[in-house]
Amino acid sequence: MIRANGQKLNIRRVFVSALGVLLIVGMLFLFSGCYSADVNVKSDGTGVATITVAKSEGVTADSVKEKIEKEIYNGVELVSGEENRITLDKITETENALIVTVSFKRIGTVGGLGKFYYKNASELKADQELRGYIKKLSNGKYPQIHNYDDSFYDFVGRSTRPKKELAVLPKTIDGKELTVDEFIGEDGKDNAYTLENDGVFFSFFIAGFEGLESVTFKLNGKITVIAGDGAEVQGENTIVVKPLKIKTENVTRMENGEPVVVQGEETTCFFGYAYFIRQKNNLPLILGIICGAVLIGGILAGIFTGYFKKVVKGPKFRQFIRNYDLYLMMLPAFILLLVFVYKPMLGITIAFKNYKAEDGIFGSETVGLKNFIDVLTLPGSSFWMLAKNTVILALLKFVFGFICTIGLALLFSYLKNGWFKKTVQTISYFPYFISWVVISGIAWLFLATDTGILNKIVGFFGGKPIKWYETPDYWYAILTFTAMWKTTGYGTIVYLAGITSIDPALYEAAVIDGAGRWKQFLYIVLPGLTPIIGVQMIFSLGNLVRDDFDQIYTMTGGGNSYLLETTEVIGAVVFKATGNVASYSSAMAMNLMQSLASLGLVLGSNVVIKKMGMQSLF
Amino acid sequence: MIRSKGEKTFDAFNVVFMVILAVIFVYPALLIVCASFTSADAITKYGYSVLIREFSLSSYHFIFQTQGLFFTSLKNSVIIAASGTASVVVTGALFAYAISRKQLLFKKFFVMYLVITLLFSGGTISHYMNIDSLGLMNTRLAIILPSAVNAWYIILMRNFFENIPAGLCESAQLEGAGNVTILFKIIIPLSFPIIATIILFSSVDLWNNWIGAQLFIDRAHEHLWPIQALVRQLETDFKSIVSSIGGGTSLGLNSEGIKAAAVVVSTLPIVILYPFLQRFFISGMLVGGVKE
Repeated sequence: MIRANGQKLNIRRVFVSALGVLLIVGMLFLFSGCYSADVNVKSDGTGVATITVAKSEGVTADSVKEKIEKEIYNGVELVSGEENRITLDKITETENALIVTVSFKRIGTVGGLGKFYYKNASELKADQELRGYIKKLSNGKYPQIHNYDDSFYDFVGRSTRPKKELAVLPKTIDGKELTVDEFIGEDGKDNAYTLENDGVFFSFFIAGFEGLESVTFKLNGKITVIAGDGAEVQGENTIVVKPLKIKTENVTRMENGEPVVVQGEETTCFFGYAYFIRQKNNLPLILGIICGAVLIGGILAGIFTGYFKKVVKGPKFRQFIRNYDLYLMMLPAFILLLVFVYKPMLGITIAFKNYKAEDGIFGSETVGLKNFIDVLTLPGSSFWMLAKNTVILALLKFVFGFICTIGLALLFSYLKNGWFKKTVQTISYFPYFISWVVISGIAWLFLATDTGILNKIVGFFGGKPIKWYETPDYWYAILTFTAMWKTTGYGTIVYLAGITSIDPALYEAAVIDGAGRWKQFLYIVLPGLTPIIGVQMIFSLGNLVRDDFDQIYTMTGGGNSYLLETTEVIGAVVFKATGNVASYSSAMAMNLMQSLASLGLVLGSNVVIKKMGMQSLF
Repeated sequence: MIRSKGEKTFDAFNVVFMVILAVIFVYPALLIVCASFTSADAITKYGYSVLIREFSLSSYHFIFQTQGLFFTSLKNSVIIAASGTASVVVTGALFAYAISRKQLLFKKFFVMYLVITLLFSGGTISHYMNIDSLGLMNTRLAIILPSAVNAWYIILMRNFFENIPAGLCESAQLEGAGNVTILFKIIIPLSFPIIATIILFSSVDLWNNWIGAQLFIDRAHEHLWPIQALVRQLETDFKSIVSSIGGGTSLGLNSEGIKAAAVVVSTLPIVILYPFLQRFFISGMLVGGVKE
């Protein structure tokens, strides 16, 4: 009877916890509906373009590469933090053509390799330049183009008077022609078409790229409207454009530093635009629905088997109803943790994928453990250096941290209570509350090569000034020392409390037995402190594989290339990787290994400490 | 208590050691304050020193007369620290109260829900992508919201709440008080030490946070930077940032002095608040630090 009862209880417990887990997983997936294909394309654009260039005399992979690199890097006005907005990925050679792949990311309006606009539908209304461009095209006129090499193209267009068959007009993908007003609306008015669809406008115009056969743009979404001569849609999200020969009124070129005007030249160029809707990835939604369905199924099953009836009539349910406000109270923190801690955990999956912004977290290709193996084994991988620095620094801080804080706490405890003790304690706690940004500013006063205090001291003893910020060998010591400076005083609080809570009678008995301070320390203080040391140990052990990126990055000035050998840690690499989508997956793989190692250490030490009979965490 | 000769020498040495230690802690702070008051010439000629050879207010003049980025960043820091701390306390107290009650069902689950967040996280890149996908890039909310709840503080508060005699709450319940009344009328007034501690830690953490701004707020939105992010930019990229602060070019400026003054100004609020909050954080820290 008892056994059956126990079993029943277990089944119910399993059932209830399964429902709970499903509920959370389902909510996570529903939340992650916004983790869609366009995760990085909210207001900027990312995409891929493939450029095909016909082979001819003098056109080789190298010359094309040079030209494109020039176009890319000279044409784009670099804004700090947005380097490499267009990157040249690779050049492949076929029998009679060269195929160049470039990827562009985070473009607003990008010059270089022609000129692109990438705008949200909502911005179309206000952007007069862009509206002017669309209207000009619809009148059969082409805009002037200023290229990277200072050549200036002035087009006649094929006709100065608007003629329907010469105009570049927007056309929906179903073949329906739209007028410009239907598409973007009249000036100052919202337009139903673009705004309702909440899409992104993408335009292209390139001139003067000789030998250009075609350019293929792959966009992150579904193309709905397209305009342009020689522009075709392939599939849902790919446009192929073929340049035309168009007569220019005049072309101004810089030759030997002098502008030369050539009139009536034929130039390779293309103009046009596309309008597309960013697509959502439905996988998380589907998974969410599946979870929901299973959940509902479970609830229905519960109702039909009479389980819920029993629950609803039971005392627990009444308790739940009576205290409904407790659950409401938990809601804000519950949701914040769900959105900002649990939801990002889904992102860990990109460590097992070849993450591409245009494919999203769920759509990217799964590559299994490849990222991990690459990180661990590729010859150029910096992982082992990072791991070494991380562990050495953490170990130094761990050992010195324990020795210094316990030692200082002991010394504090021997001070007589009074203003002196209080003052010293207050002073020693304070550095804990100063930010690393500030401490790095202070450290500069000591470490600056010409004006710093340390070099003054070195000079006083007749030594040569040391370039601290360029010599990696000193940095383990510098980082350990500054960490001790910041945290030792504060760390003593816990131990001091432990020392003061030791029964004074023990000391008295020890004194009577003739035990000196050293013996008292060994046999009274240390045993009294072991539970605290145990708990602190659990926390600190997890830190053995973590890095104080905050400290290291500020102290070294942020990726100081002289010091990488001893100061680059996993945290810094991950931090820098946030700016570069291409390295998300490998950085995530490193990060995950670090987190798991840390988790393992914490849980492991917890088990050990429990076994040793000390107070454990969980 | 009678001290032996050895113990007396030990105590004397201890006092001397403490004085040396105090100097090690104070000297760097003093040094940067002095550097901020020293003229550029004196710094290049004599290096940094606690002796101010040529007193100069030019660094502070620069900071306070250019009504630019410096004031906005201080304002941003206050907004971030104040709103973040307020929500940490509010969301935390509510959750902590709920999990400190015996009537709560699935208590273990909710506690685990907190503890897991302390042990494991998705990492910086996931966090970055999450903020991006929520459309919070280049907003102050990108820094505030993720720190608007803190599992560790919730556990500290729960421990404190559980130590409040249950009889108080039970008698209130008999008088017909609901959970909300008990929390605000009984628990919170009795939990001043722990709440003060959390306010201290949370506001200092938020005030000192520069990583959030570095990740989520770019140069084009520098008017949203908190002070620590600005100071860090000053330290690493003085030339380009000075023009945004409103100083025109960096030529002829006492760059080292201005950096020092910026560091001093950015830490001043903590220095001012520290003595007031100091008496709370020791007691508050011990409540949860040892237990759990």
